[in-house]
Amino acid sequence: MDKETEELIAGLMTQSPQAQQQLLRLYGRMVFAQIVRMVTRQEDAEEIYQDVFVKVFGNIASYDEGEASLSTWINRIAYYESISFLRKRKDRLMYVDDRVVNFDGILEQQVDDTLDNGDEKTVLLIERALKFIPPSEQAIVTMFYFDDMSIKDIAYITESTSAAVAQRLSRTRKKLYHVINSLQNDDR
Amino acid sequence: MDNRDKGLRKALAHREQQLPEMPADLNDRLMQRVAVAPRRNRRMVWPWVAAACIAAVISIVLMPPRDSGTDVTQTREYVASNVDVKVDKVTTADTMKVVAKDVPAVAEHKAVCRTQQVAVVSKPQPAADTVAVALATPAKQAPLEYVTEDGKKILLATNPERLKYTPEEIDKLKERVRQKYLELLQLETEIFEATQGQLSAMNEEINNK
Repeated sequence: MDKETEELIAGLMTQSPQAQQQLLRLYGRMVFAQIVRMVTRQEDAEEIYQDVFVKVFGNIASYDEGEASLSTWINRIAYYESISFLRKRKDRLMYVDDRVVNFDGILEQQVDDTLDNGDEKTVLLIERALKFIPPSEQAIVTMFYFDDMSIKDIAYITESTSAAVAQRLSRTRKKLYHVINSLQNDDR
Repeated sequence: MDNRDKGLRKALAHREQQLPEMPADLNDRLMQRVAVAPRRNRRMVWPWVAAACIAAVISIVLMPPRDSGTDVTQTREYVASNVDVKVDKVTTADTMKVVAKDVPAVAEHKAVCRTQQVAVVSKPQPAADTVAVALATPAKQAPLEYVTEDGKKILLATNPERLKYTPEEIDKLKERVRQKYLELLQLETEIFEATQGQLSAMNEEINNK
């Protein structure tokens, strides 16, 4: 851990307002993006954002630098605050369940060919298909493909194992392929 | 950086652009909220309360309250309250009854004279072992009940131990008990006379003052 981060953590331990503001400058946007991609509504995201950092300031003593970086640790709190909010809200949006997808019948090559296709039509289809995926899976896919996080960090954030995250990513890709096919059939 | 799934990456990037941006004053609002909120008191009281409750329950289960007093103690108190300091009013027989309640020697012949109820027994006898006879003098002894069969006198088998002895043996046992009881009375009389002497000396001192 570098010296700046050590000083920052030391300041947070003493509840220093300067250290807290520094933390917000460094990681605020990252946390807000993590929250809003799951919660989508801005008012809800703002409330959860504040809850996350109140929790970060209050529990900074429990941060273990050996387990993960400070940003990953904060991301973890943000992820679970968002999940808790969604569970309380009892999201009524319909998402594609694992039970309706024939994962074994979908070939990896078929999935690769579809998701690797960068033409505008396919990208729009993928974007539409993402809305039918549960928020937790959307977050995992986004962390891996957009934030370029490692599977190990994603496993820490989601309190899972690397193998479970890898399997989750594989199944989510197949689910996207299934939804894209369904959307294409509906469009015809 | 892995270049697989280009279409998926583009879709995700496009989607991220469409999400709402973080408001500029959000951090200021957060700092105001943090400044106003009271600092959490890190001391937790509930674990101590729970531990105290558990300790109280354990102490009650493992160390139940003891009895307040015994029959012997109450008897002693009764004896102390009934012994009259004025010696001339206390009769020998009455004192024998009162004092004899505390005499531990009574327990020595309890096993032998189970068939006969002794008035000076300190502990209450179970109903099954109680026979309605009180020995003061042989003349006052209540007769045992006999059940005759074919002209023979046999004792009521209220106590199975009687079946071990023949009637002659039982008569001998009774005679022995009677002798022992007389010795006990003589002993208690001597104790009384010694006590009487001490009490009269105390009376003289009180009267002289």
